[in-house]
Amino acid sequence: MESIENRLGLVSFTVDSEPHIRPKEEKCDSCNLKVCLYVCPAKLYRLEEGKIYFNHEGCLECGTCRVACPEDLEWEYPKGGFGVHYQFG
Amino acid sequence: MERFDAVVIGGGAAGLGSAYRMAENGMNVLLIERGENVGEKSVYGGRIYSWVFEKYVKGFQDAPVERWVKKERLTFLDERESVSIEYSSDETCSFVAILTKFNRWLAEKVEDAGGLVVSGIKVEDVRLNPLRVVADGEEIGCDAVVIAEGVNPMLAMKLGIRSDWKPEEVAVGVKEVFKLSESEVNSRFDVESDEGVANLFVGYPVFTHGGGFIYTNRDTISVGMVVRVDSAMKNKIEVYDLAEKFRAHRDVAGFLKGGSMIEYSAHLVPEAGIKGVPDALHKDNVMIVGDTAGFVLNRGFTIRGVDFAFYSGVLAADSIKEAMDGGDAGLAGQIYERKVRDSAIIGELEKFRKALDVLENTRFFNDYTRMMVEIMRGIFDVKEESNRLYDVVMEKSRGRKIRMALDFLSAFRGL
Amino acid sequence: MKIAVCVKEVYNLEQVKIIKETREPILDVPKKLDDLSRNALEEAIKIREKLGGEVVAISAGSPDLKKTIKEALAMGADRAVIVTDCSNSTPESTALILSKILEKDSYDLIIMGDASSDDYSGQMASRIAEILGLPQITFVSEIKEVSEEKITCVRDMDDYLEVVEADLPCVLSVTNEINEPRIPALKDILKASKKPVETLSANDLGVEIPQPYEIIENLAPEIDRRQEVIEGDAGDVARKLAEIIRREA
Repeated sequence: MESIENRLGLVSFTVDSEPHIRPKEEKCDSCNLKVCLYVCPAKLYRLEEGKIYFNHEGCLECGTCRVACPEDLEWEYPKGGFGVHYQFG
Repeated sequence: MERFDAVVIGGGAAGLGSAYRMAENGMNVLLIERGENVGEKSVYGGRIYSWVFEKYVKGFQDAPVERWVKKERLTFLDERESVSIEYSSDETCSFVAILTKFNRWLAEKVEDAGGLVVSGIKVEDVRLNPLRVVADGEEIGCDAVVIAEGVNPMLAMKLGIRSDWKPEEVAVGVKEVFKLSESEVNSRFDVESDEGVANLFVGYPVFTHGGGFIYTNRDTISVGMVVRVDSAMKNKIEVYDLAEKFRAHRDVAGFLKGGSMIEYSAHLVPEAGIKGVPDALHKDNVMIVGDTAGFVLNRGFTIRGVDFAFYSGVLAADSIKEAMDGGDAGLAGQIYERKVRDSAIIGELEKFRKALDVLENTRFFNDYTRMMVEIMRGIFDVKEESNRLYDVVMEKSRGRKIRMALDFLSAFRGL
Repeated sequence: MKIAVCVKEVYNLEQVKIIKETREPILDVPKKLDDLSRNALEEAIKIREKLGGEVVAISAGSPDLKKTIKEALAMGADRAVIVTDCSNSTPESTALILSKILEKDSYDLIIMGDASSDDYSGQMASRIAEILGLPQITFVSEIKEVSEEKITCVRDMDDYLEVVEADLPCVLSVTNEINEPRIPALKDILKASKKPVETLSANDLGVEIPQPYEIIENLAPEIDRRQEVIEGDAGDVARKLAEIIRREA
């Protein structure tokens, strides 16, 4: 099985220094479903010592986390020209 | 302030369809795409129904078609086995394409027709009274706006045209593309160079709402999985490894052997059919088209999205033209609303309203898929003794015959 | 001041995928204006902003140039002349083609990038200066002074800097240290769509493109890239990392 890290390595990105998705920390702390941990197809949400960490680098811009998140995270598309550049979409 | 007859937001199939039609009609149209290049944000499974392009696009024969679909295959998978039904024909109504390349080609058609396509710019806002589009700190005036921003309806929500998707209304799709040679694709799928295969899969590994797919490109293969977001949440499905699990199945892996993975992608798909279409498709002269409007039809064995997207774009373009020609450009939104409701898009979505109930029924994705495999195993398992079909079916359906009969009747009627 | 900027379209190299097993590149990616071409354009636009005049973008390449040249116009070139039938051209033929275009007008300055990020042959400025019989200043990292008659530039010679003066007309090739190219805004892109682009063929210019060499193989270098995720607390991670570095060194 190819790891998600290796698979994301096949995708071309222009990463913005500003994240376009922001989970609301205080809400994540009290969220007991934490569906973001498994529904994100890029596995960008990680749980460390009970806290959710999100890394926008590698975001495939699908929108699944926004739709799935019971706590309503802040979600925007990256700025124009930034983000993922698919070639075989 | 720059002014256009119309501004189209988004360079996917819907936006390009709209811009192309307007440019062809001699209108002054601007399309704004947020990707650095058109096509780089578009993702789908792999197949396009050709009727709408044959009808509306001049020079469609030069489109970057990978292969024309000559074989349709539906496969039921359990953990280790599979049952396939294949329909093979010389006639075809659909083709496999890389959407990135296809959309890039459409963008060229738009420009050749005199439309202006700008990429790498994200539209921040659409403002009403007077109508204008805000991007890059600039305001652009226009008579009509077509929102073709895709499945994530950020602008449409802001304007109150539609609400966000609920988890049960969309599916997340993941796709991997494998490089092979053209001749390898031909021999593995038993097709000629211009012929392709569309193979949909039910069952393993999710056994719930969703399924797998394989599409043959010219010298690559697209393989992936789609799962409804609510099911992924409920069953704690690790979506990031879904495509990997699927392609590890012996009846999928064989097609990919020796291939080199060259891309991984993900996208949302509207799955709510007619129920995902908002009550109003416009606000003033701002119209929503394509995925933003929810124009995707899933019948289980066929999924239509790109053709409806393009077509809805065309209808928006025609509505704007009709309104302008009639002397009151402000009527475009209302005309669009009527045109779409009268069109095959809503017609088809309505026709298959009951398919939604069928596809809601997880027994099709789990129990009946497994049963299908077990029945086949039962009749093909020949040792010293073998089984009668009747006995196998009776055994496998024990205690659920009435349930099954009702389910199959609903499927027969709905799909 | 009439300034010509020779620009080049290149594959967007960041997007080129390499097939792991065979090391072959997949070149089906969008093209863009080369980075050093942007530096050259930026410098030309700055001079125009100071002294007035015209900036003309000139390029020879594939039919895709019709699209890529818009980036030059959006950045601020006033018009463009492109030759779209020489994707397989050699530096020699390209220099001939560009010179033929440059000869048609009387330019005070001809600016270009030092080399392009794809082939990196770095021959264009010298070849064009030679063909046109003009003075040339290469490796320009700063323009100190420019007037209608003269230009003073700093040449970056790696180990030292050289200040050079030349009479105009003159050919310059610039390094990426010379400036930070501007990123066009929407209004610039919209304006660019109305600027004139003259499209020519090598044939129109009377240049034949010979093929003195052929590319036999085009493979990515072998790179052994691995990824290891180290887990544990900070102390563990540091220990394991040190171990790996020691082992791999």
